[in-house]
Amino acid sequence: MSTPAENEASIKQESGPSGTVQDKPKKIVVRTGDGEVFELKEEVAMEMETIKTFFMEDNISYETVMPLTNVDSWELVKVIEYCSKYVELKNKENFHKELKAFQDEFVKSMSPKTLLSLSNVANYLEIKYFLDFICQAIADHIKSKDVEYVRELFGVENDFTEEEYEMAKTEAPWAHENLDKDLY
Amino acid sequence: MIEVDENLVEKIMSTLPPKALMRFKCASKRWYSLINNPRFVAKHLSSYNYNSKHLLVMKRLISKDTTNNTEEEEEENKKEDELVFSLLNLCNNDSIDNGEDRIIVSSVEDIKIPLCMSLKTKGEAVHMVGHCNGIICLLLVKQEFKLLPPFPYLPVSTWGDDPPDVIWGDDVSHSTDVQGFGYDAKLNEYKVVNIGLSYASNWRDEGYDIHNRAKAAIYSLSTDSWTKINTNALETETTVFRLESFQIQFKQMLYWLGHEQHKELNVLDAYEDLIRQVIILLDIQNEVFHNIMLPDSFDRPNVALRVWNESLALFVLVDDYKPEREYSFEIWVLDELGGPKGAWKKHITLEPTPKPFALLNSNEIFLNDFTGLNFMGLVLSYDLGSERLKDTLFHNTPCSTSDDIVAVVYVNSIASVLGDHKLERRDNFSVANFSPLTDSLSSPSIMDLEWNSYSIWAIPTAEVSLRIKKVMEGLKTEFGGPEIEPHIPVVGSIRMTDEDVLDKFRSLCSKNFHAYQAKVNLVVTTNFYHQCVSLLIDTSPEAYSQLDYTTGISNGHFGFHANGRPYLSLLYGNLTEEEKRKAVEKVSILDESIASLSFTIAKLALYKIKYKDTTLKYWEKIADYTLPLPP
Repeated sequence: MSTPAENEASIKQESGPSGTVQDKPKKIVVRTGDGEVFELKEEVAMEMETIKTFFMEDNISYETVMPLTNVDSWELVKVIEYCSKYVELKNKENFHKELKAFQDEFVKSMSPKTLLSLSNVANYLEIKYFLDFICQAIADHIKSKDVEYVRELFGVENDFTEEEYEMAKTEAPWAHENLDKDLY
Repeated sequence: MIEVDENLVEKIMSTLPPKALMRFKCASKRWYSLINNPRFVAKHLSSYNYNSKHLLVMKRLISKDTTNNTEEEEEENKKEDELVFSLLNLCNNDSIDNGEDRIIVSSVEDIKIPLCMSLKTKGEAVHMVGHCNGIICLLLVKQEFKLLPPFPYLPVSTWGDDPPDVIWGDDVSHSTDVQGFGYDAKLNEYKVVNIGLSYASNWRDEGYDIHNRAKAAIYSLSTDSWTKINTNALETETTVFRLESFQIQFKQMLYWLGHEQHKELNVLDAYEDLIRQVIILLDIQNEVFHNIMLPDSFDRPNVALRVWNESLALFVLVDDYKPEREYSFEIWVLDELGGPKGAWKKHITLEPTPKPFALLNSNEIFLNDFTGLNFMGLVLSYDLGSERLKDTLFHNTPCSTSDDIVAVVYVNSIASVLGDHKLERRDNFSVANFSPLTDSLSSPSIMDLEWNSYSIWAIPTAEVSLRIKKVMEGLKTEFGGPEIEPHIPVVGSIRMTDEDVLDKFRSLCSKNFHAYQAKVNLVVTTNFYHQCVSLLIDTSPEAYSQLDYTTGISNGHFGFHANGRPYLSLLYGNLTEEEKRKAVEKVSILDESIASLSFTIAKLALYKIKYKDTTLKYWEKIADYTLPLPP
C-alpha cells in the first residue's frame, strides 16, 4: 500500500503569477491495478510510450484517468522515481556519470524478483531506456548463477530427463564451473 | 511466480556472456532451442559485442621461461618456443588527464590449446586462415585444419583432413594450397575452401612451363565432407589466375589476393611474367569464382583487403624505398556504383606508419610495428578519425618480433561451429530461411565490375577455317562444347575500355605486319578448358619466326612482357583422360593430315570476350584487319 507521502513525490504544487491555465504544468492521472490513483507530471508521463500513445493518438483529454491494470502501485512508484531522475539529468553535463551513480543506488536493495517485476512493467509501459537498464541489471545478476537458480527465478520447469540434461551439459562442461554459490 | 514474457527473456539473454548462455541452455528444452536459434545467435552477436571492449587475437611465439628448470630440463626445453594464441582485451583509456590518448590492453588471456592438437611446434606450422563470427580457422602444417570455437572455452569441436585425393584426381602434385574460411548464410553452416595450386616446373613440356589451373574443393562442417568446385573461371584463353592469400569474407563472397599469368610460358620468360595483380572471389553459396581488377597500374606488394565502412577497401602500404624507410599508407575503397574505370577510389593517404595488420572498426587500425627498433613487437593503434597514433601498452609478456604476430579482430559469440546439425532438435523448432549473420542478398554489382576482357586472334584463311570447322563439328557432336571460330590467340586477357582497346588495336595494325605462315606440330590435349583438344603450333625457329615476330610485337604493344604458347583450339571442355585419347583418335579419323597442316594467317581480329558465356554466342568481334600479302 502506498502512503500519501509517496504520492506526494509526484504531485507538484504550482502557482503561476497569474494563475492562468497555460502556466499550470499539466498532470496526467493514472490508476494502478491495485486501485491507487497517481498524478504524474506531464513530462515524466510522456517518457512512457504506452501512456503517451493513449493520450496523443485520439487526443484524449487529460481529465481522463488512465487505467494501468498491469501495474502495481509500488512498481509505479519506482518507475516514476527512475524516469523523473532521468528527465532531470538528461540535459546535464555529467549525465552519464550521475546516471550511473543513481542506477547503482537504485538496484542496490532490489531483489531479483523485484527486478523481474519491474522489467515486466517497463515492457508494458514501453520505456526503452528503463527496460534496457533493468534487463542489463538482471543479466548482470544472473550471469554467474547456476541453472537451478535461473529456473527458480524465471519459473522455468526442467523438462529434460536425466540423460538429456547430461547430454546438454556435455556440450560445454566448462560453462558449469566457477559459479556463485549464492542463496536465492 | 513471476511470469516473464519470452521477448523479455530473450532480451535479457542477449546481453549475457557466452559462458552463461551455454549453461542456461540446460534450463529447459524451450531455453535450449531459444539459445540455439540462429536468429538469437545473431542478435546476441551484435548486442553483446556492441558495448564491449575490443578484442584482438594474436598468434605469438613465446620463449619458454626456463629459469626454474634444472639443467637437464633446460637441455630438453631449449628449443621449445611455445605457440600461444592470446586474446587481448582492449579498451580506451578514458583518462584524458595526461592528454595522452591510449588504448590499454586491459588483459591478455592466453588460449589453451588442448595437447591433442599437438601445437607445440614452431610458429610457421600453424597459420590462422580466417575468422568468422567468433570462430577461428587454423591450418596445421600437416594440412589438417582445426577450428577454434569462441574463446576461451575450447575444446575444439571439429577438424577436418586434407581433401581426399579423389577430389584432386590424378594430378596430385600441388606445390601449395591456399585456404579460405567463411559462413554460408543460406545453409547456416561454416565452410572451408582448399585450393590446390600446381607447381609449374613439374609440368614442363619442350621448354615451356605449364601452369595448370587451380583445383578447388570446399569442406562443409556440418556434413564433414569435401566436394569439388568447378574452377573454369580461374582460367581465360591464355592465362590463369593464381590465388595467393586469403583476405576476408564479405557478404557471401570470400576474397583472396592473387595474380594473373600466362598459362604456358617459355622457361626463359618465366621470371618476367606477372601480368597483373587481381582479387579473386568465391561465391560461397553458388560455388562460383569471379575476379576483380585492382586500381590501374597498381604495383604494390603490401596490400590487404578489408571491410571498412561497409564496403570493400584496400589497405596499402607503400614503401618509398628511401634509405629512411618511410611508409605511407593508403586506403582505396571499392565504389560498387562506379563503372569499370572508376571502381576503386583512393580514400586516404596517411603518412608514415608501420605495417597495418588488422582493422578494428571503421576508425581504428591496428598496426604491427615490425620496423620500429624502439617498439619491438609493440602493437600500435592508429585512429583514422583523428589521425593519431595511439600507444598500446603491452604488459608483461614479451612478444616475438616481426611477422609472427598475426591478428584478427575477434568477437565473442556463441556461434556454434556445427550450426544446428549436431544434436537432435528437441522440438520442432524450424530454422527459418534467413541470413542472420551476414547479409545474404547477393550483390550483383560486384560482378558488374568485372572488366571486359579482350583478345586478339590470328585468323586463318577462309578455306582453312572451313576445313578446321569440319573437325570441330565432328568433335562437338561426340563431346559437346561450344562452337568456336578457328583462331590462334595472339594477345589475351586485355583489360581496357572499349574505346581504348580499339584505338590500340588500330595503332597495332598500322605496324608493318604481313600475312604469315603457321604450321601445326601435333594434335594435343591439355588440362585447360580452353585448350582441351587443340592443334599445337610449331614453335621451332624455322617455322616460327614470322609468327613469333607478330605475336611479340602485339604483346608488347599491349603491355605484356611475354608470349603465351600458340594453340589453335578444336574443342573447349573438361574431358577425362580416356575421353581425351578418343578425341585425338577422332581428329585423325576426321582429317588425317591436319596434324601437319601448314597454313596462312590472313587476318588479325579483336574480340570482346565474356568468359561467363560458355556458349560463346556473346563473344563479339569488334574489329579486324586483313594482313597484306608479303611483298
